[in-house]
Amino acid sequence: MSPIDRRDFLTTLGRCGAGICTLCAGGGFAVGQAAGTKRFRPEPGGRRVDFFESLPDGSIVCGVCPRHCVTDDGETGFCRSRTNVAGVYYPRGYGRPCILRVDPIEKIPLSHFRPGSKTMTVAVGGCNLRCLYCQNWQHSQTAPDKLKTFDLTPDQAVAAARDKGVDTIAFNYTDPVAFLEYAKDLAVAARKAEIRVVAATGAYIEPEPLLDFARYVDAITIGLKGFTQEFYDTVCSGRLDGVLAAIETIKTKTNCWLEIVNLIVPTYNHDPRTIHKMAGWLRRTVGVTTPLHFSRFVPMYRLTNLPRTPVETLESACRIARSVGLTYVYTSNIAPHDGNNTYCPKCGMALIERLGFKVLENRVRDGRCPACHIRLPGVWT
Amino acid sequence: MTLRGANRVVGVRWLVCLAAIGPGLPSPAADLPEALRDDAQGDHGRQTVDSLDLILSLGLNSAQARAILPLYAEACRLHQSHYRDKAEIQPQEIQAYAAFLAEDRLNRGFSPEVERSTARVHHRAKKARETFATNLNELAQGVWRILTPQQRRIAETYKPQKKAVFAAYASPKEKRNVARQAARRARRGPPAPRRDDPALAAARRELDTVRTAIHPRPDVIAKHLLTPAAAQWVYELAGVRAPRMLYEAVYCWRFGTRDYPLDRCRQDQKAIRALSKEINHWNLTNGMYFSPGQIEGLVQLAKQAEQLKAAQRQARPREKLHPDEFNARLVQLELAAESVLRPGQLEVMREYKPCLIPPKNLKNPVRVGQANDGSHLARWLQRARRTNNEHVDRMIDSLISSEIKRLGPMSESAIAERRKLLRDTARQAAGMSDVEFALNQDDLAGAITPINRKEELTAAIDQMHRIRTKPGRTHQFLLNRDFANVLMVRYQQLKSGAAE
Repeated sequence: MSPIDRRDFLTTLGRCGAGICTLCAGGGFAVGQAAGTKRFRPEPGGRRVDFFESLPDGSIVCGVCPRHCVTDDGETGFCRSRTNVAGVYYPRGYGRPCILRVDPIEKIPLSHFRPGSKTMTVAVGGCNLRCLYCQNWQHSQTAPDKLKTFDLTPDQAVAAARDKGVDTIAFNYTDPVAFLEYAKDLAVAARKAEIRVVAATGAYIEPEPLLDFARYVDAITIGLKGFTQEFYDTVCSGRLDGVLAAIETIKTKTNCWLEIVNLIVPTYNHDPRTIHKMAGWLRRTVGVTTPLHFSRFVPMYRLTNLPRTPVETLESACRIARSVGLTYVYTSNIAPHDGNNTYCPKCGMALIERLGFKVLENRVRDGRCPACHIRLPGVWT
Repeated sequence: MTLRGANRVVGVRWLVCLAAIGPGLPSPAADLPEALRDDAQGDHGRQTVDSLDLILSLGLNSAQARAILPLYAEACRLHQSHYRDKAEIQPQEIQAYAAFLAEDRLNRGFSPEVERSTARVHHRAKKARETFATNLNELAQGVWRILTPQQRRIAETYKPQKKAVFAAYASPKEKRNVARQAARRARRGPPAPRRDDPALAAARRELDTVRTAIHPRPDVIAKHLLTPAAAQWVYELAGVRAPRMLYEAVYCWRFGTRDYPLDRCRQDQKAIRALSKEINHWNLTNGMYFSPGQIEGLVQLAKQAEQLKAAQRQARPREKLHPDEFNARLVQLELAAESVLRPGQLEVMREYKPCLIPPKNLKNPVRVGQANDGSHLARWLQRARRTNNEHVDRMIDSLISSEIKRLGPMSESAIAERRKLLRDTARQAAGMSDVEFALNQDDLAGAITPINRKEELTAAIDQMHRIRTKPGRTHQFLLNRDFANVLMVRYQQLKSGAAE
């Protein structure tokens, strides 16, 4: 067999490629249609989205988050989890969580809400943000119906939690804003069954749906991802003012226990002045006793080119927040570290000693410090 | 050509020494030749003397020696081939570990290439070591079969008695020294009887057995008889002319190869040991997130411990502290070190198992020592749910065999019990709905987590040390000079912001 030169090889390769393309365009059409244009069909009488506005031309304006997606018939919103079907807006992942597991409450993160307890965590695929560092991007950046899911109605979820002996249900890993209808129905069912509900969210949500949901929620951890619009533009594809408004709404108009988490990404939101500004805003808006967690970034998803957040940066952020006056400042995603522990603001006693998500020692008695008996903010029983 | 004539071929001083012994094995009364005695200060001489001691202790006869010869020749081949492996792997190990250490020092995570290459070369070296030991032990099994029951009993309890051997073969001058030492001991009176704790000794023995099963090591016959060091003795005893291959094996054992001389091999081994040790120290330091204040405290305590140990080493026998007193002081330092640590750090310390590459566990940020979670069992159960009973049985067999490799040997009854537990749990998992399984998989995986006897024994020994006021893990890992050096570097890095 005579050897062929590079030019001949590439020419042959090109011809083969063209042949395959032609075949696909003809005989393979059915396959392409099935994969690419599969329409979402809601179940008859299925759950609809609560907040949307139908336009005369059959399109819909979503009212859940400040993005206000406008979708035509058959189109899905930015969050990949709501679809316009003939002028009605339907959630795509209702009753189909992709994650179901039992976790420590510290994983939310919640440090002042029944420390050491377990939660049944539920998550449905999709998200209305596009954080470049998302730790659960396989689930959050995929449409709910493209994931392996469980069939689980809200009542079944509550029954499962009861069977498991867990008295808290959490929405974590993906943002409940993307599956708000399911999250709300589940929260309502849980409330009836006297099961508590907690949620971790980026809080990029309109006040009305937020209040509607928060009525049934006992604690919320809000990811205040940065404190500049530039950061939200570049890293999260969202708007800061929407998040700040949501935080304010939660604090002023609901009884939810609130904690804030800020993930520090080196070179993006590690600037001490911005952190100072953010801590000041939090002090004014949510008060000094609202816990603030500075979380460590680990290279993930689309930011694998960056290093982990240096410990010194996290410690410096904690110092800044404390200097501003915030009382309960934590470091998370780093252990063992002093910042994992809860200290009494009056006598300085280590009240809850943690190693990552594990509570090593909980000395809080009836919500008070055993040494100086000062009352600690939070939910302890 | 006999081995005595081999000095021309091999041209080594060692063989001249062997030749000087003359035909046949020396009787215990014979003096060890001066040259061999000099050489015996080195590893090769020691190994030769150990081999001789074993052969004499066993009282091997010519017929047995002749029966051993084929196995022996194969063993020598294995030694040569293992040396060639080392020649290839060790330089790679040094390169990979040095790159890994450089990144470990900065504590900013590892680049994927460095992590991958380190893991690859580390695994290769481990595999080569273990394969060599396993193959050698298989040959040794042949030798065990040749031995009489009495010889087997001797071999089972054999420990090299270097002092005794040297005393037996000592030169007149050395004999005088030995006699002088004996007289001195007689004047001082018999040493205080050792208070052996039977439980501690039993735990140590069992731990040693488990460790050997997990990481095969040459047994006593493989180590002292199936070694090129015994060449002279085995062939002389068999009265057979040594084959050409043997000279090459002995030469390789004594000098290495032209491309990779033994001196370089030893230097590399030393470097690898030093690098691995330093990496272990850095892994621990990185995982503990010491503050500068803690580092200052720990360095002080490590220095005090080193001073105490050096003083004990250098003191004249009468001035030495009583072992109990010495241990009590070390325990005090250990307690002081533990008081410097935070509870979280103590917890990490308690569970720390030294390893080269700390496992990645993004679900749990504590990333210090070897992984110890049951997530693989949860995945195993997931697979078992989706398959039929026949396949589950195969999966169980494969899981048990991997556990035996990883955790040490299991008795037949333990295997049967484990098989039953796994089968029952797999059935239970299969009977669950998807939702039930999702919520219970961690509990189920926890229920079938195998007992890690090595860990249990290590913890028990540590506990027994504490009861007997002997220093434990904290002393082992934190209170030594090397760790103090690492901490001082970290202290400088923290001050200058070069690392975290």
